[in-house]
Amino acid sequence: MERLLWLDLACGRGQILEGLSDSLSDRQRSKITYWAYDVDQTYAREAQRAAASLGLAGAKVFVGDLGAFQDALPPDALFDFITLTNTVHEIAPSHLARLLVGAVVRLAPEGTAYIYDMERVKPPELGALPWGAQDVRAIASELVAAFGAPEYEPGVSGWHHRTVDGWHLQIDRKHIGPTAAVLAGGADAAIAAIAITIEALMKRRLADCRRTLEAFTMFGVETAEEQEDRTHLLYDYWALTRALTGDE
Amino acid sequence: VRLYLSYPASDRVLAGALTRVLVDGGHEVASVEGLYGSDLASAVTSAIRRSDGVIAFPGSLNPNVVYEMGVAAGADIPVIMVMPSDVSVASDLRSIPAVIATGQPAVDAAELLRRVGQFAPRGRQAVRDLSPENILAAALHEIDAYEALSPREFEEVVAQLLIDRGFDIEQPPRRGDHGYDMAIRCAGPSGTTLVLVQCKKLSAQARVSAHVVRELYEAVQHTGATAGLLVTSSDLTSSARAVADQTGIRLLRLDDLLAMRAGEWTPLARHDLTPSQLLAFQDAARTYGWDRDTAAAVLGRGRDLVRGAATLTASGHMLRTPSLESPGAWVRILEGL
Repeated sequence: MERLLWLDLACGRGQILEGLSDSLSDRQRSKITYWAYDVDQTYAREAQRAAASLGLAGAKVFVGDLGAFQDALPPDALFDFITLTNTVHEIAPSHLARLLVGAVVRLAPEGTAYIYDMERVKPPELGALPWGAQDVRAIASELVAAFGAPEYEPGVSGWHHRTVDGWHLQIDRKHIGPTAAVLAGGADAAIAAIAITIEALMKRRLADCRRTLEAFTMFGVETAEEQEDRTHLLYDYWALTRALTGDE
Repeated sequence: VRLYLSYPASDRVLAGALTRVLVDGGHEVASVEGLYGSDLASAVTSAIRRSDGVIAFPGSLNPNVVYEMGVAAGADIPVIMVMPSDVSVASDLRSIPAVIATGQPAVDAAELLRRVGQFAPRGRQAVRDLSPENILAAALHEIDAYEALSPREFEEVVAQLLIDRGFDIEQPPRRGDHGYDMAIRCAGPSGTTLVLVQCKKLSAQARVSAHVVRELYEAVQHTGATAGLLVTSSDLTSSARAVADQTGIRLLRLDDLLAMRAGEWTPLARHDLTPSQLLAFQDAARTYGWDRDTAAAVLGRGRDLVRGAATLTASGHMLRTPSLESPGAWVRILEGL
């Protein structure tokens, strides 16, 4: 591994760094420069301190709204590693396409974007919209197709844990052909195409949500699983309705 | 002997230490670690039923531990409780064998090993030694065989049975959960269709909840498959049944599964038919003994024809007409509708 520039979007307090002291050698850590981006200055500073205490080669902090990260960073900065963790459910669906495209455009030629999130937020949060692995797979496919690489299937895995279900998405820039400049030039078209996919997925989810809620209304819930499901669906219904009516 | 360790999360460290002692003593140890998902209770039950004895930590009367002791009692599997000396036991548990902890780990471990040595290995036939058909037939008729089957084994056995019966089975990509366990690929006159199969093996008392049906339907939509089949021997909740009716997700019971043969089974295209019409169509296909190609040919004659046929069949009209036993006659009548 040579020098590696890592952008941690919505870094929070830098929780993602916690496991690195065990998994990376001192030598590896000395090659990593960590850029933390978060809307909360205090959090971003904490992440910077965490990076420094790990012995990373460098750490910088950028503060701003997630949707505007492109404007906050130096325009020519490309990253070997971009992470976005435990955050997608908080992103307004209307901003999600722009964020994903922005992440891909900012990848270095051999760079990787790694995104993971929960399929359900526990306890549920009003207005949050968590996504499932299958929907993420559809969005990722549209993303790479919009950049002219329809044959590339970005890695999407859904996983189950006893207390949480989640997914992760990995996009490797090397499988998406054009140069950074060409990629940036096609960004708006890609955003439009992905936004259409996201809207279609939300409409489908809303229909699925409504169907199950109608069944619960008619027959009640008969298991604890259904009780929990009903609560989450009500939250999803609210978030989807807001997003589809443009009230988010 | 094979042991199952039942403990609350708060005793995980102690359980881990005991596991090492028991494994060093030559025993196999299973527990809830590594198990997850909505099939968890069934996976736990299966593990308990395969054990020669259960070691339980009921000190805090954790509901999961008490439930697991009940599973062991129902399967006539001996239980030893590990109890702190200052804990008062629930009256139902007072006569269950117990190791009362002394506070000296080495002494307690030695005593537990001595007691575990009194467990007798229980004779059992390994699942891998039986044919899929025999395993599922046993599960259909014997509660012990059903409960001993883990969800993972159930899925594997269903896949093997379908392969043995001549179905073209396709597994989802290895990475991640794709919302289905396998797909049946069917070639017919109108092209290849894909039917997603999701296996749901729950404990006998459990019910399949609505989200299971919804998630399979999501997978059908995402993959563009023709239909979704839920293989289960559990009942569905009322809401799950309603969602299945509305989405066209079909249930496949074990007896239906055991009766399936590749040449005799028809994948049902959605064709804008209601689930009850689809059901009627499949019933007609079965009643008249259509093979796959014949059924596909009837479907291929057009949506309106199929809808009319299915509606007629659902009303019982066709099924009561003995002269219409050949598919050709049935199709001719339909054409004249």
